[in-house]
Amino acid sequence: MRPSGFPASELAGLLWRRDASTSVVWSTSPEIDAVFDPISGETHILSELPALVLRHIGTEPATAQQVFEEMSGAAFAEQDQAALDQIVAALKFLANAELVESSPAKIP
Amino acid sequence: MVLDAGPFRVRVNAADGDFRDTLGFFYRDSIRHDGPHVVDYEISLIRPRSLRRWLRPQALFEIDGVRPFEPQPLDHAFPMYEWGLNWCIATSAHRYLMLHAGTVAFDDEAMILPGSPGSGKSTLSAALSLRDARLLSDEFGLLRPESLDLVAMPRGIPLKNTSIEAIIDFDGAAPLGPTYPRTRKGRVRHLRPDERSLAGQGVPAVPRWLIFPKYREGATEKLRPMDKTDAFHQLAFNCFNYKLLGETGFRAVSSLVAMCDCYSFVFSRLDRAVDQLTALTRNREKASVTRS
Repeated sequence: MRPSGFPASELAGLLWRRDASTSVVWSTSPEIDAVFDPISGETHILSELPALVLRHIGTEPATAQQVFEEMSGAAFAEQDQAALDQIVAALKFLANAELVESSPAKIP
Repeated sequence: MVLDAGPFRVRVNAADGDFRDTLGFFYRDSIRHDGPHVVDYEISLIRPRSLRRWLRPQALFEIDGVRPFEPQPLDHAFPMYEWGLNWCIATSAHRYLMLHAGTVAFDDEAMILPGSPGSGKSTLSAALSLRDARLLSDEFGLLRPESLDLVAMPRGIPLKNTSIEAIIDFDGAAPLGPTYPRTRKGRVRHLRPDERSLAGQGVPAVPRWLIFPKYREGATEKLRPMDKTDAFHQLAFNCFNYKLLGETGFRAVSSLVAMCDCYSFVFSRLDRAVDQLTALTRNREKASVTRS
């Protein structure tokens, strides 16, 4: 059953990952949610959730649900939908900042 | 005339007697009488070869043969020299991370006061230096990225408009230079750095407090702890050369914020402001802090 309130394509259609060829520089302090992109020379100030997402996302493509499970350490359940929606929003923010990439999922 | 301005050595060529006297008033203890010298900046204040040499006389600022600014009235030679030297440093001294901040030291621990024009950082730096603090700089926080210590460059503090009266009210014996009316920043008068600050030019300080001041007329002083990410954002915004230094600048600013206690500070009265900031340095637990 498809979770309500979210287009199916957003959940099923995209994979997310960090670009393996670039490596952002994190602040020296865990209290500061900021990263430096040495490729663009830009500094990104992150709010708490995008910072957490960026710390957990890997270089292998993963769905938003897989990112959620990596962050939470638990399998996704229906009651986690609101949290998943926020993670998707954070992933979109990070993609706009070119800190993560998205790609369509392969059609089986 | 060769003088030390913190880590920089400056040769100043100027024939005008009033300017030389003023330079001597402010930097008597920094003028070098030995020689020869290798200098960082060779500055000349020259008079134009035109009618302006005699009619409403003007002066030109020249650095290494280049004249980057419009001529100014001859009797504004000292502020023109000060602002011109600031320009020289801001456009060349990129081995330092340059913070747009007042910086003072309590013993060898530094309090950094970053802020835009009008925030009150220069007036606060002046007031603190008239009491327990050693002046490092009112304009440039010069941070060595490799060691994260702040270099001292005590110079005349240009007080503008009502800040002049605020400092006189704060300390009637404050050593002030001449008044320069109608400069591009309004009425300006400089506070001479004290002997303790000039003697400490070669003594760096370790950053300890990061205070973002905001002057607000009639406000009650409020010192609030600041989120480190917010402090990072504001400090990076107040760096002259943050983008130019790239990753070095990013690492230096984040390390600086991480090692400092960070506060926002609204103030209106200098006496209360100095008391509150000084109390912070003496005993952090007993300082008057208003939590939001």
